[in-house]
Amino acid sequence: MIEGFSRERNVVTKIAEILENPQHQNNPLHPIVSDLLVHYKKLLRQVSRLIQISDKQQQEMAQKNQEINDLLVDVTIKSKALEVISSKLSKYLSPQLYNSIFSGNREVHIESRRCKLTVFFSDIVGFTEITESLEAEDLTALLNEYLNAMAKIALKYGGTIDKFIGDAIMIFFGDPESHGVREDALACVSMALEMRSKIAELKAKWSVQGFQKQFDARMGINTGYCTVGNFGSNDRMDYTIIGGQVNIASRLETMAPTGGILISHETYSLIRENIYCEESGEVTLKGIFSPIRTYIVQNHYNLLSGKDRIIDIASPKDDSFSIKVNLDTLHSDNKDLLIHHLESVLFRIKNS
Amino acid sequence: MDTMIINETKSSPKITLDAVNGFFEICGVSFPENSSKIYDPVYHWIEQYLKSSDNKKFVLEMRIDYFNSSTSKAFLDIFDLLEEAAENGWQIVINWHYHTENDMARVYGEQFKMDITKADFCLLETLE
Repeated sequence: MIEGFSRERNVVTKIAEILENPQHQNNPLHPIVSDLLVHYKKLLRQVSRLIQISDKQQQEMAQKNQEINDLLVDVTIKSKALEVISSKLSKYLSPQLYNSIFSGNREVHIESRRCKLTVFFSDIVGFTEITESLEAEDLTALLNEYLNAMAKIALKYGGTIDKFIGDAIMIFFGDPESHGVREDALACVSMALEMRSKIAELKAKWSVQGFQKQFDARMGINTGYCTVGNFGSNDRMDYTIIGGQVNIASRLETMAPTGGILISHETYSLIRENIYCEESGEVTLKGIFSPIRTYIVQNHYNLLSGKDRIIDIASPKDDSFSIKVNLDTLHSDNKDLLIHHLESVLFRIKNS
Repeated sequence: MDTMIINETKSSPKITLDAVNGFFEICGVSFPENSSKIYDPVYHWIEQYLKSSDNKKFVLEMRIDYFNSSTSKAFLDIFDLLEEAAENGWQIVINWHYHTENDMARVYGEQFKMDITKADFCLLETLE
C-alpha cells in the first residue's frame, strides 16, 4: 500500500475491529458491511496500484519529453551548422543546381542526359596584357567586380553558371530549369546584351578611377543538343555540359569582335523575331563538317537607335537588288504598304 | 466454451481466449477510448471459464507494449479474478512478456506482480 491513504486505512482498521466485536455479530447489517469492506479494500488496493502505475507512466513521459527536447536542441544546433555550411557551399554552385540538390529533386551521382541548350562563352580581350599592367590587388578587385556583375545578370536571366575559368565565363540555359528552347535562347542573348551594357558602365567607372587598360569582352552563343550531367568520379564530380555544340559556342566566342556577341544560325533562328542581328558570314570550324552561318547581335528591336533604325541591304556584287528603309520615319500607313510590297516581292522571287 | 477472439486495432490488443486449446493471450497496445467495451466481455469470459472448467489450470500470456490507465484498471480486475481462483485451488500462471529494450513494460509488470501472491506472476524478457 502506498503513502497517502492513511485515512482510508484507518477506516478499514476501525470497521474491521467493529465487525470482529462479538456484540455486532448478530447485527443484520454485519454481512453487508463485511462484503462492503472486502470490496472497499480491493478498490483501495487497486486505486493505490493505479496511482503508482500512472506515476511511473508520467515519469516516463517526462523523461521522454526531456529526451525529445534535448534532441530538438541538438537538431537545431546541427541544422544551424548545416545552414552555415550549405550557405558557404552554395557560393561554389549555380543557384539552380544548389536548389535542385538541396530540395532533393536531384540525385548526386554520375549520370548524364541529352538536352537542347543554349550555351554562352565570354572572355576578356587581352586579359594577359591587362594582368601584366595591373597590381595583383587591383586586378583581383577589378576581376571580381566584373565577374560579380556578370554573374548577377546571368542569375537574373535564369542562366546556369557552369564555371569561371580565370576571366572566362561559361553559362548555359535549359537545364536544370528550362522555359522552352526558344525562351532559353532569348534569355541567353538578352543576358549577353545586358552584360555588354554593364561592361560599358564598368569601363566608364574604371576610367574615372584611373585604370588605363580597359576591360572589354567578347561573347559567343550557340544552341544545340548537349550532354548535360555529372561528370567525374564518385568522390569529386562536376555538373557540366559537353559535346560538339559546346565547342561551337566556345569557338564563336574566340571569333567574336571585341565587345561583340557572335551567335550561330541555330540561335539566330530562335531569337530573330525579338532581337536584331546582322549576318556575319559563314565560318568553318575544326571538327564541324559544314560551315556555320554566324550573326552579330545588335539589340532588341524596340531598343534599336541611330543607324540600327535604318535598314540598308544591297547586293555587294552588282546592282541586282537594294532595299533601304528608315524605321524612324516609317509611318503605320506606309508600314502596311511596305509589308504588302515585300510579300509580293518575296512571292515573285520564290516563283521566278 | 466458445473461443473468443478480438482482433487488434490501432488502440487495442488482439485477445485470444481459446478454451479448446487452452491458449489465453492479450497481445499489442491498449489505449482504447472505452476500455470496458473491450475488457468487460473478457472478464466475464474468464469468470465463466473459471466456474465451468474442470481443467483447474489457466495460463495467461500478456504481451503488452503500452497501455493507458483505464486498461490498468481492467488488468487489475482480471488479475484479481485469477488471484481469487488461485486461492481456490486453481493453478494460475500469468506470463508478463516484455521486450528487452522496453524497460517500462518490465517496471509495470513488477507493479502488477506486487498484488499477486497465490498465482504465479512471471516476468519474461523477450528479444523480439
